[in-house]
Parts: sequence; structure tokens; C-alpha cells
Amino acid sequence: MIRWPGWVLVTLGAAYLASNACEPVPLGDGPRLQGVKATASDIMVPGLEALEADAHALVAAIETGGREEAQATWRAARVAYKRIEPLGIGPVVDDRIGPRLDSPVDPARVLALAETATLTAEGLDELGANRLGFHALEVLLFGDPALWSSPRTHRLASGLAAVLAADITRLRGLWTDGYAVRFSRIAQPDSVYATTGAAIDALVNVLVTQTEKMFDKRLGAPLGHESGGVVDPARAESPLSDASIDDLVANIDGIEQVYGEALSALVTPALDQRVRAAFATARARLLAIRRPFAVALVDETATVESAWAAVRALWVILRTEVVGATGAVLKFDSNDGD
Amino acid sequence: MLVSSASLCAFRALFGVLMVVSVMRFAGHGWIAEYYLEPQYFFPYPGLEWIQPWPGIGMYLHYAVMGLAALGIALGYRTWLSAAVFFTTFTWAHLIDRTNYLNHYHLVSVLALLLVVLPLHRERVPAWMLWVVRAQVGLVYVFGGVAKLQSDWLLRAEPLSTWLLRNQDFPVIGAYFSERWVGFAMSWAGAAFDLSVVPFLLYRRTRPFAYATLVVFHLVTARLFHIGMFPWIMIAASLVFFSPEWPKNARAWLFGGEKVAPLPAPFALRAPAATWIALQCALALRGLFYSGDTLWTEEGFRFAWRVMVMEKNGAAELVVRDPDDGREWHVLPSQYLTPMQARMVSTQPDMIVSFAHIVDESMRARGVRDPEVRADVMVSLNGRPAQRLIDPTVDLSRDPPRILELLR
Repeated sequence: MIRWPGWVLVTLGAAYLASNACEPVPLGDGPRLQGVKATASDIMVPGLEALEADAHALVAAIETGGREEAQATWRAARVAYKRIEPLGIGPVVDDRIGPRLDSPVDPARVLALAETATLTAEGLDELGANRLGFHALEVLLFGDPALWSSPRTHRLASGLAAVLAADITRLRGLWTDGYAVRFSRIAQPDSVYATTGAAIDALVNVLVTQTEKMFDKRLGAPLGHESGGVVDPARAESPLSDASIDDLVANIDGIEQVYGEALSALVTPALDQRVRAAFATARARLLAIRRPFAVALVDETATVESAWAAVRALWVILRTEVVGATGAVLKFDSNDGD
Repeated sequence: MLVSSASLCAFRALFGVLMVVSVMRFAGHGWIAEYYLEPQYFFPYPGLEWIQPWPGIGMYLHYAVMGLAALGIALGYRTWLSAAVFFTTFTWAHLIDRTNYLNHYHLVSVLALLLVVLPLHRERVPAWMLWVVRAQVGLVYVFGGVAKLQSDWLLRAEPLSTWLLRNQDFPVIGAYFSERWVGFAMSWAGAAFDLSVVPFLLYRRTRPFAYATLVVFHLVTARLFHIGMFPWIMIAASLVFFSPEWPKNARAWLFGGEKVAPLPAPFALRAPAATWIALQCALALRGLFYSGDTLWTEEGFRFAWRVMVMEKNGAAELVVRDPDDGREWHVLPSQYLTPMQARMVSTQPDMIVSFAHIVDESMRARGVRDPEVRADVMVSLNGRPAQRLIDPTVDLSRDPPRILELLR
């Protein structure tokens, strides 16, 4: 028979376990919670709506406009996408929409699609990511000009643009029809994040990862950093459209926007000033690269190296000082520490 | 002098239960795959390169055996054998890769080793055996407190202030975590707790209050920080400071029955215990014999109970050069390592050197005859601006790293 002291202990233990089992109550979270909410409401949702409008404009331009107009609308949609790309969280990953929008493609396989007997919307929708998205359209819009005059290629471009627009509409819908609310509401049963700290962790991690990808893969790889210094313009992200630098600048804009909304209030003014300076330097050095990028890589390597160094410096300050100052945990796992 | 083994048996049972939970938790989080199956490379301890993960499902079986051994410890089933198997399997697993070092894994290993050597099947044991366990548990607090007697902790309230920031949704008091004074108050209180709790636990009159404070302290840290089983291990292990008969009296208190008059357990020390404690102290204090700040250089950091005193974030890149033709490659840790390994490599000089050797070997295999490997590593320690950790001109494939001085 358990005596009263035992019951007291059991009750206290149960109360502690119950308090742990309950979601923490978000009190006094101030700028952190506001930053997370603003990321959804002021960046992601309007960014996706703008991207959706641009994607549908692209469909219309391919249907009815000339090649130059189609190229211009592709560029506009591309920039809109690259601005939100750094926030690679949620449906874009969970529903595997990201790879369908922006994966490297094999141009020969994309062109071969034009020769297939049927180019139905369903058929195109079922293609693998390496024949879909912005880069598949880039092949058709910025490749051999003769392609534009081929009715079959034109039909393929229309179909691929429609798939792209449908994917973007689906992504926008997933955010506006629930994910944005779940993302912004911390510690509710259907919340994406149990704590504001976990949301800040996720934001910091995606920004650091994106910045690493930018300097390492999108600048470093064409500069030959992975191949013993052999410059390889073909490894640029958007070589046919020569939009590689625009892609990177839009990424910088997107990263700075998330930093500004969600993180800048959490760091000291001195650190904020240095982070803003790192963004400005990276952007300026990227814009200083002359076009075409493929030529700059060979003839003005030092300028491109300088941009690489500036984006790398941005990565360093985000990965070290911003991670520390925001109290974020830089990892994609849940390991313990002590 | 002999004392009742009841408190040590209770410690053994609680430790066993916690280790069963720990093994299940480890497997449940997917850490067996993450720690042992996913990495392409490991960072073994010098001289222990022969300790490798088992192939195939071997590590899952390894953890199954570890869990059964922990259950054996909890139930007191062939305690010596269970403890020996648990100690071997646990220590083996955590010596595979320096990436995974945690102070509390080290604590688990040493406590398990003590369970191997203590004759807990006996009704009564020599008093020095109780005292060696008390000393082992006490050392964690004492050296944890000593590690906090430094300017970052006391004069800058770092890293605690930063860590508190991410816990502003902590019920009730979280709203105050962004206040500077709260960081200072909690830093000083934490240091005072670590340094004073052992004397207060040793003194009979203050013991209940000290233990209650200890429980509250660990419950709060368990809620605030990602420190796994550590708080629970300390709450359980610190019960050894009570009278050796406390389990009997606790049983009487809870279920009724005769209480036993607590007998004193006078301090006693024998050569094996003294040697063990001296070894632990030497390990903890060896950092004093290295130049530079241990938090920065990490020389003498492991196995020294420097618990929760460092927030270190780094960005590392290796530059490989072929001296024959001047070709250069830039290598990020993420190209070779898991995210966890890459994070550790980016802040720990000895792991950067090991990584440089991994890349050196890899480049040789790719046909570079005699690669030079240099590291550009920027690290922010406890909220300071990022600064270079090691001299980027040193070829780490040949020479030891030159750790640069920490700019305060």
C-alpha cells in the first residue's frame, strides 16, 4: 500500500511528465515570433503570388508572343523564383516540387521530347525532373533560334510552361491554403514547429545552406574549384540564358529579405551592420561581373573570384556569427549536446 | 569499514533503467544509422583506429546487446557480466568517432566501469567503494564549476545568454531571457551551484536542500537545452551522497515499515580508488599544461567535464594544391562528411587535421602525387566575431597545425 508521501511523489512526477508532454506556451517571444510570422506573410506568400503571376505570363507569352517576349517573361519568372528559393522549407521539399521547378536538364533529352508522338499535358506532367522546369524551357527558349519556328518545339514549350505554372500554382496553394498558417503558429497541435527556436533554427539552416550552394556550386564549380582550376562555363547554373548572375543576385536578395524580417532583430546592431555590409558587397561584386558570364569566367577570372570570395564571406558570417547570435543550432539532426 | 551496499545497488538499478531508455532513445532517433552507417569516414581517437563500426546490421546488433546488458544491470542479473558487456559495447561505440564525443557519454563509460569492479552482489561493501562513486559523481560538478571560472562565463555571461535567447518560449520566465541581467544571474548561479553542490551534499544537514536544488537545476536544464540523458543520470547518480541505507528508508517511507537508523559512512580511501580519482583529476586538469585557451584550441577539452561552457560555430574549407602543376581544389567538409561531422570539423583543430589527411589520401587516390592541404577556418567562440582558427599557410598533410591566438 502506498502511503501519502508516495502519492505526493507520484503526483509531482505525473505533473512534471504532463507539463513536458504539453506543448510549451509561447510567451514573451517578441521579435522571434514576429520574424517567423513575417517570413510567411510578408515574404513567402507574396513571393509565391508574384511567381505565380509571372509563370502564367510566361505561358501566355509562349502561346501568343514572340521569342524575345517569351525570353523576357522567362527571366522575370526565374528571378521571382530565385528570390524565394532560399526559403527551401515546407511543400517545396515535402511535396518534391522544388526539383520539378529547378533541376539541371539534359538538353538532348528535352529536345527529343519534341519528336515524341504525343505531347499531352498529362504526359508532360509525368516526366522526370530532369526534363521539366525552368531549365527545360531555357533549352527551348534560349537554345538554337530555329527551334522557336518549329511547331512541335513550340508546342512542347507551351506544354512545359503550363506544367511549370501548374506546379507553381500548387506550391502557392499549399502555402496559402494552410502551410503559411501552420508555419506561423508555433506550438499548436498542427504547427510546423513546436517552438519558436526550432523555427529560427530552420530559417538559419536554409539560409546557410543556400549561401554555401551559391559560392561552392554556382560560382566555385564553373571557376574550376572542384576540378583543379579548370574553368568550366558549362557548369554555370543557367548558361544558355546567361542568367546565372541574375540567379545569384536574386538569391542574395531573397536571403537578405529573410534575414531582415526574421533574424536582424535578434543580433546586435554592430553585427547587423556587418551582415548588411556582407550582403551589399556580395551583391555589388556579383553585379560587377560582365556578361556573358561564360566569357567573364575565362577573361575576367579575378572579378568572378572576387564575387566568389564575397559570397563566401557572407556564408562565413551567417554560419558563424549569425548562428551564434540567434542561438540557432546549425545542424539538420537532433543530436544531443553538453 | 563496511557499509550497506543498498545505495550503490539503487544507483546500479537506476543507472540500468536510464541506460535502457538511452539505448532505446538512441535507436529511436535513428542515430545508429546516422553515427555509424551513413558516414563515409570516421575520426577515431589516436591509437584507437582499430575501433571501427561493425559492417551490415552489426551496429544494430551491437546496440541490442548493449540494451540487454543495460537491462541486466537494472535487474541486477549477473551484474558483473552485464556491466562488463555494457561498458565494452557502450565505450566501443563512442570511441569509433570523435565527432560523437559528449561529456555525458564519458560519464556513462566511467560509471559503467565502476559497476564492473564494485562487488555489488554483497550485502555490505568497503566504505571506500561508496566514496569512489561519490567522488566520480562529485568530480563532474566540481570540474564543471571550475570550467566556468573564466571570463566568458563570468564577465560576458556567454554562452548562456545566447542559449537563453532561443528559449524565450519557456513558460513564465522565458519572457525575461532576453534581459542581459538574467544571463548574468543564471551564469553566476550555475557556477555557484556546480562549485558548491558537492560540499552541501556531503553535509548531512544541508543534503536534502542541496539535492532538491540539484533536481530543480537539472529539470530546468533538461527543459532548456538539448542535453539528452545527462540531467537524469546526474539526478539518479547524486543519490549516492545520501546515507548508504537510504533505499531501505525510502521504501519504508513510501510503503510503510521499519526505518533503519542511518549509519555514517566515514570517508575512506584505498590505493585503487585514489589512483582512479587522481587519473580523473589529471585528465580534467591536463588542459592547464597546454598553451592557449582550451575552449579555443580544444587541447585538453575532452574527458575534462567542461560542460556547457562553449558556443562555437565555424566555417571551414580546405584548399588542396598539386605542387607539380599548381592546380588547386577547394573542398568543403560537407563534400566528404555527414552534417554532424562537418559541424564538428569546422571548429576542432585536431579534427581539421584528420580531415586534411582524409582529403590528402583521397587526392592521392585521384592521381595527385604529393598534395598540399591547407585549411581556411573561421570560428566564432561565445559570441565573438569570427576569426581564423589555424594558420592557413601550414600544409596540414605534412605539418601540425599552428593554432592562432584567440583575439578577445
